[in-house]
Amino acid sequence: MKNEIELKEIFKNHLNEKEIILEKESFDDAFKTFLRIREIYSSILSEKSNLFEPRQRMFGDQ
Amino acid sequence: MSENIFYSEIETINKLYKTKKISPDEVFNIFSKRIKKHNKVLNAFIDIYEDECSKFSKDLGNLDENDFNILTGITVGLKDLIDFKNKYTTAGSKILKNNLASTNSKITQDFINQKSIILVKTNLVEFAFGTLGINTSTNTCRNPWDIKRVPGGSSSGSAVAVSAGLTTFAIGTDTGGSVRMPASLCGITGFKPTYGMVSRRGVLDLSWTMDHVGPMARSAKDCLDVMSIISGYDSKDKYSINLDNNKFFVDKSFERKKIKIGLPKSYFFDDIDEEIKSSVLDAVKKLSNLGYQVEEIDLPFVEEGRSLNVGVLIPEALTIHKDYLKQYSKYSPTVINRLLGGIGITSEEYLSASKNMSEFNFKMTKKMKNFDAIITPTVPVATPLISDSLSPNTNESNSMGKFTGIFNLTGQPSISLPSGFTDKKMPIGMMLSGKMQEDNKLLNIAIDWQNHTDYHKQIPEGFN
Repeated sequence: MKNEIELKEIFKNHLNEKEIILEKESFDDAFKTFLRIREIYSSILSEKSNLFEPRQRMFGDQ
Repeated sequence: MSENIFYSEIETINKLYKTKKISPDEVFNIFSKRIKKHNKVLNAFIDIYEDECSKFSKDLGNLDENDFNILTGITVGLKDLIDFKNKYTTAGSKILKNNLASTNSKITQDFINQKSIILVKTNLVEFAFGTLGINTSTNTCRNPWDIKRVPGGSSSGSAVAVSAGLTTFAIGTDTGGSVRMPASLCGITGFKPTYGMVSRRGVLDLSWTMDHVGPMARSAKDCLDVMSIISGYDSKDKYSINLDNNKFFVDKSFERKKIKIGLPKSYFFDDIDEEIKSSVLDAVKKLSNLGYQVEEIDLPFVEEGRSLNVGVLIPEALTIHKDYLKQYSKYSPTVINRLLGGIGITSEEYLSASKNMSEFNFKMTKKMKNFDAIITPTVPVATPLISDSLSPNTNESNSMGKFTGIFNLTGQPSISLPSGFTDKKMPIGMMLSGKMQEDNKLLNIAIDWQNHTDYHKQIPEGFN
């Protein structure tokens, strides 16, 4: 995962692309959430995944 | 006889109607008076259809005994994500404040067909995107057990209304626990059915993979009676699933000794509020004493579930909101915070979350093979004060859905039931989650639990 300074720049760029301007407090709160979500995906991507037939849900006994 | 009609079960009111001991008009007037008395403080509703319901309930007085179906003349509140023709569906937001529904949702039509009294649209977290029940756009509704505390979300108004005796039942939606969390915090029963069992046609989406619609009521029997009407395949809803098992009835052949309930070894009882832990473990003992088989179940993979719930939900929510985001200043702070926190998610990340979700569900299905249900707490944390919950990133806000969200991922049926009270007299909820499509069995276990306990019959002070 990138460091916090790099991530802040990335987050700012995403907001700029969408023409979203936030006040400092809202920006800081949203950036905290952004970091938390980055951690979530970092953990998801690091999960070892087996060869697997992709089905979303199992209905009944398998 | 009509003194406590506002806390009576659906079946009881139905019998009173059939025997003409009370009329729908009398029942409507009782609820109407209570709404006027309590709603200014509780703020449970976005819209109240008083004049129409008054006329409609009078007309129901002309019905014969045989014309009364199970939900005829029963008052219902719809979470304000659910379309009711020619009424506003605001999603509790400024962005959709003028969004007039041109048709009925499938479940609204079910209630119209039943001649139910659709009394109110209930307050909610803006766009159903939050766990505590905070909404600065419509003003947060308050928990009847302590009006300084949050009701839980996102179906906050639905839970508050049932808990305070302002409607007999209500409908909520559940994407990460939004029926079950507020049910737990407000001391009522909230049921999330198997994915696809209740149509979502005419209900605003938050996440197409995780969204469910379900009943919220005082008792599991009421939830069963509502499910008997609203469940079933809807060919006009692309997310509806044609399931084999969607019959709802009180099972007379139900045998406790044949039911095996799994008690998870870890995760669900780690790092949680001690009073919640103790209450749910007491419930486990009671179930065991009643004759249920209770055995430990090992779910080592389950810790990943909450991340996957969020990992699939957030990009889907962002997709749904992509046009609304231009009006970002109209969102309430907690909701825009959640949405913006997800910007920049890549397709690889979303697809990895979806793929891991498939694996997670495969593992859960295998584990459930030898069990009929799993028992856990509904939420890990005590009900926080509203004043401590206004910031978008509180610990409670981030951890509230860590148990419920697991069963949105798997799509299993899951119910929150009152199981005790804290020292501060706040309700505690336990959660039973069953096998896919075994909704009726799960509800029968819940009904049996409530036949032997009275937590669900308790009434918040000042609401009797």
